[in-house]
Amino acid sequence: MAASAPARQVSKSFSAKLERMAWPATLQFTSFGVRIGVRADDNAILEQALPCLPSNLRPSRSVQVDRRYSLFRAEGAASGDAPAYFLYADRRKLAQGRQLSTVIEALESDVNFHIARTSQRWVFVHAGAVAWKGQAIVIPGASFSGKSALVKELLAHGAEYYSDEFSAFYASGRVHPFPRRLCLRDDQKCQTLVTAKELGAKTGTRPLPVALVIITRYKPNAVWRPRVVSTGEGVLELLGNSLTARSRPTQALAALSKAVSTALVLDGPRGDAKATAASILRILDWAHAV
Amino acid sequence: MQSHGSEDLPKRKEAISRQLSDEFLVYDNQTNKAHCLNKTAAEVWSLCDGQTSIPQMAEKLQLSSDDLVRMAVDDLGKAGLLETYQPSADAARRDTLRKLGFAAAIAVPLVISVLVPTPAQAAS
Repeated sequence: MAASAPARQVSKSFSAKLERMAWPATLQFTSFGVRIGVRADDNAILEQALPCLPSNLRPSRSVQVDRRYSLFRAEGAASGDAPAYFLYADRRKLAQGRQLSTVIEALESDVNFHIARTSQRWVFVHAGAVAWKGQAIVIPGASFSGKSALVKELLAHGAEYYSDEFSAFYASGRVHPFPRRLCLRDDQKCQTLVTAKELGAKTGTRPLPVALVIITRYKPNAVWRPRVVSTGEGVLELLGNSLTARSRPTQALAALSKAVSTALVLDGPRGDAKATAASILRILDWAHAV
Repeated sequence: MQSHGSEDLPKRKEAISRQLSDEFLVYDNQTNKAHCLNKTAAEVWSLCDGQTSIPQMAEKLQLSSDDLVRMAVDDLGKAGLLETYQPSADAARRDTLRKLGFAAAIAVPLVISVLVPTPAQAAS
């Protein structure tokens, strides 16, 4: 686990030291219109970080970025101490740890959050999303509400992966893929990060209209018997999980209203994720048929 | 703020709004709350211009009594969507529902509200 104390700004002298360091491995890219730079003091570090960066990234030559991440390895303070890896976002220390993989997890998490929070043209909602027969199923909800378990089971039934944490809506109301690794938790709340590919699922590439919004929360022993709720309640649920609505309410209202206008909105607690996933897909198939 | 004059002239707050098919969404920048108004609540809200009284609203909406309008104004006021309104007694809604009966229940105004989170809250 990365020992990641709350991010704090470092002194100007340390910031200058960061700038003077040699950065043989650098990457600038844009994702959802946000410009990001990642640099490492070793090519091997950047190579290990690359698969955890957004899959839709567009490499850029511009050195102008909205946020720059610095990843490096430093020897221990005393001789015999193991080296540690450090991660900075601009001048703020985000994480440090003995394992590179855990520091890269912190990088992945912060890059995704930064994009979702600052993108100007997309509206991001804390929601899982998958595609089924060319239409999107969106599952908004807070962490620990059971989104990822449901997304995983939908993928097991043949759905395409779009997102596990933040779903991206364009002004047209369509959902764009924003696939980070799925964060799966076991009964002891230990988390594992896995790619859709590792689960045997495909990741979607095209923006899709929303067919179904599922408002649900895991409740032990519950049987999923949802009720149909109104479009307005569906939009309200997305707004209540939106990262964008406070700063750009007009844009969020417009995009999310369009997204839900084509969708069926179902609300109710769920029990077993596998049975719920099968039921969701049956409902969607039935809705297609009528 | 609530008015306590003899005549109640509810006035809606400035807010961002969007019409859905038969609902209305309202976003209040001051409280960071989003509200979903059903058809009846939305029609009443649109008439809350600070110059139209509740009986006049009922007349404009071609309702035989003021009860539904009063109920909607109460809901809108409690949701913080009105600058001025005079709240009814708590028992009024129950009495109105009883008076209207089941058949009119579909027209009962409804305002659902949600607090829009900060990005950090939304991500947690």
